[in-house]
Amino acid sequence: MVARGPALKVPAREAEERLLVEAAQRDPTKFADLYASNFERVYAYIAWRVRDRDETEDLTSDVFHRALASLPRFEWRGVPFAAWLIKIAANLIADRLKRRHYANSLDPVGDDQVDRSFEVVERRAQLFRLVDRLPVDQRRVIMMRFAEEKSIREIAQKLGRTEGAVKQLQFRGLQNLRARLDESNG
Amino acid sequence: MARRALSQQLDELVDAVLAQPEVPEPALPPAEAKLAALAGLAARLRGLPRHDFKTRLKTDLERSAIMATKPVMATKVRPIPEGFRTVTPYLCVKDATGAMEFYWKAFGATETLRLPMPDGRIGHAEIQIGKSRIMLSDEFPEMGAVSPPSVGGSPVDIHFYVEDVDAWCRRATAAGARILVPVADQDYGERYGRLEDPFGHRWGFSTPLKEDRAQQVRETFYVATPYLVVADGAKAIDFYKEALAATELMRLADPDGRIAHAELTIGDSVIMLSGAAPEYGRLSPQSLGGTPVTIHLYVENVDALASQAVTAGAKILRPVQDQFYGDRSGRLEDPFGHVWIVSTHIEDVTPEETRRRLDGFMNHQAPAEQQGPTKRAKPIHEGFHTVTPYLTVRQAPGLLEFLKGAFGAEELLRTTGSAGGMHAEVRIGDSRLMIGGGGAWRGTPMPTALHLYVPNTDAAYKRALELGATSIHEPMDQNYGERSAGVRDLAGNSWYIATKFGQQYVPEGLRSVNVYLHPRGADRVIDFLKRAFAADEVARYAGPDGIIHHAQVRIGDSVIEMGEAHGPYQPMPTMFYLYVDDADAWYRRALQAGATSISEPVDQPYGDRNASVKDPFDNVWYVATPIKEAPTS
Repeated sequence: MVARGPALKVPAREAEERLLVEAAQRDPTKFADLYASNFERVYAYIAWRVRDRDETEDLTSDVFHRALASLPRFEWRGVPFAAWLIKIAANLIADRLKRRHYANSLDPVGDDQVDRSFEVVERRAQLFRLVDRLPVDQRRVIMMRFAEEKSIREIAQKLGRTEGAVKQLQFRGLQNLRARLDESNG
Repeated sequence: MARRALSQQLDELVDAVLAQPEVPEPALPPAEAKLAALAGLAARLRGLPRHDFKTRLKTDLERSAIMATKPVMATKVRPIPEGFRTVTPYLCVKDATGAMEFYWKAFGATETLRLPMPDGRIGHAEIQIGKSRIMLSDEFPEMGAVSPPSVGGSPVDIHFYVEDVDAWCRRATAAGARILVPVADQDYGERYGRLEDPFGHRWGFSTPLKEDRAQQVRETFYVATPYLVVADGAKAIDFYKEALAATELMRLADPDGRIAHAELTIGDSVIMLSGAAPEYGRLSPQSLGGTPVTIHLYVENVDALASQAVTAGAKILRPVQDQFYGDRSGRLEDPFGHVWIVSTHIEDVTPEETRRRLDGFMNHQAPAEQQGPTKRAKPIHEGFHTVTPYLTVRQAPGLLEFLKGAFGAEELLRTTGSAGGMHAEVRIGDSRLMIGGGGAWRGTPMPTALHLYVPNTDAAYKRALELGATSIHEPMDQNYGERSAGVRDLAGNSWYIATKFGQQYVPEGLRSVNVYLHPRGADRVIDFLKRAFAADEVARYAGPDGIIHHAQVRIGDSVIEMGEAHGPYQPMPTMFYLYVDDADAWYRRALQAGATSISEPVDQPYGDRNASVKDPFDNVWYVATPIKEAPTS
């Protein structure tokens, strides 16, 4: 379905990303740009590994706060900034699992595992970004259904529409997403 | 109609996807290829972020970023400032201005910083000799800064490896230094000379001669290196390893074990030491009665290092605190009489700004000094933190002995409490504990679970068992980066003994002693602590079922840990002594949050105003505000 190879299209973006990183290193308030371009990736990665929504939010917040704090120490080595963020995320997840003193822990996350995650993560991040660009009524239904995990009935009540109409919006929303996904993957 | 049916079918698939929590992309019976594809998409959408989360986090980060642009944030500066190494010798001299002039003539030293005090004395100066910084100041006997003539010598040489020892010594002698050991080839493979400058400081210069020695002498030796004389070299090596995370490079011992010469590294620097040798004029600080050379250490985390050093046996001369010149630092004396300033650089301050702040600081200080002994009470007694665990047991004296023997506790106070029992205060590492009970006291004991960080878990565990504690679990490496063990003492307190791997054995944010609660409904406890004592949730690790496996909340400057009760870890209601700015106000707030009153606020004869409450989980909280300085035993 998706072409093989590095899922993060590195070379094309490298120069631009490097500028963003250096700008943020000089002025931390510029970190917002790095956040905007990487939020979905980090979130998708954590959601994929952690499943629990509150914990995903917690960890995502942790990753970006740590990244912001450690940014002065970040050295540009030609690896995408997202890889650095995901490595932080992977370590935080591992930490968190280990720190549940009494739970059985997972094996530590190696670089290769992080690399392999990229493709999955990139696909999801892209999907999340596409949701933002759906027509507003479809987007609302998709958000309520998948992000807030509401039932069709709840959504129908909340939006004052029939369940059938909500189901149709969901259908069209998903169809739309699929079409846009195919489009952007050539 | 067909459309409607499709959307219905799809929704059933979506329901199926959402109902399977563990399978990210379940294989679905392909009702229809297109529908299956959409259902696959639905599976991937399961992790879709909530709408407001991205915005909320963005606002959060913006706030942090603005904070980070303020110069006080540690993230902006290197903990070891530009131009410095871990170790910097700090010389006290009778005439700093004259000394700087001499060091320029003798060693080519250039001045990089000079801070004169209002009375004309040099409060602090820095010079550069080759690649080395050296700090110096005039005498400030009131602050422990004394020069070699006042001490009667120096237990610390400043040693340099140089390319040409003869040239260095010639130049220094020409400038007025006195020769202690004339330059000559030594049988240990170096050409060496030793001088005393007109201010009484001693300087050693070496050039390696033999190939093997030249290889040992790496670049880090070619800078100003303190060479310490200590009464007991072997003990000192052990101490510096434990207290300052030093590593031993080499030692040369006499047949009778006296250390003739040893080399250690601390951080990126070297220190050398030898046992006392009065026949060569090498006297220890103890026999001299002081030292005119302080060793300044820049480290990543001054608080952790200081607490490690104190646990190992160092004495605090000046507690660690933020200094106006951009360092967070404290002053320690080791058991051998050498004095260390430990610092972490927290803010880049220009020399001009430093001078400006110094003026402000002096103006601010002056009246306070004149006030003399009737100083206003501090919000927390010296050495205490916001939270102090109060262990009440039947056999308080026995517990005290146990803590001393097993964990190196130091008894600070022992008196009789108002209920006729013993009241004692001890220090373990950087933490204080209160202990009560025994004697005529007939209350209900409140043993406590404590998370104790020590330099060596195995040793502490062994000592605890020898002193009658029972094992909860043996020492083992935990995959969260600690070695830990558990014991229960005879009074029923649980001690989770731990040593963090790495340079500092106490994790950041925690102290030597931390209370660990095992409540039923940890989330409710956290809620209560937030409402009653403005606790901050630092960390929460919960399962998908919401059960909290491990959480940390901060109250004031202290952290309380907890994990939901399970198995052998059952609730142990705990007594806390909390220092607050206004005991009455916090007492009222605790009651509003659902605590019940045990005693109303009252001035106590021991210098605190305090009240006590019981929380819904049976923990007892004293809220206290000092009303006068604690009586000095």
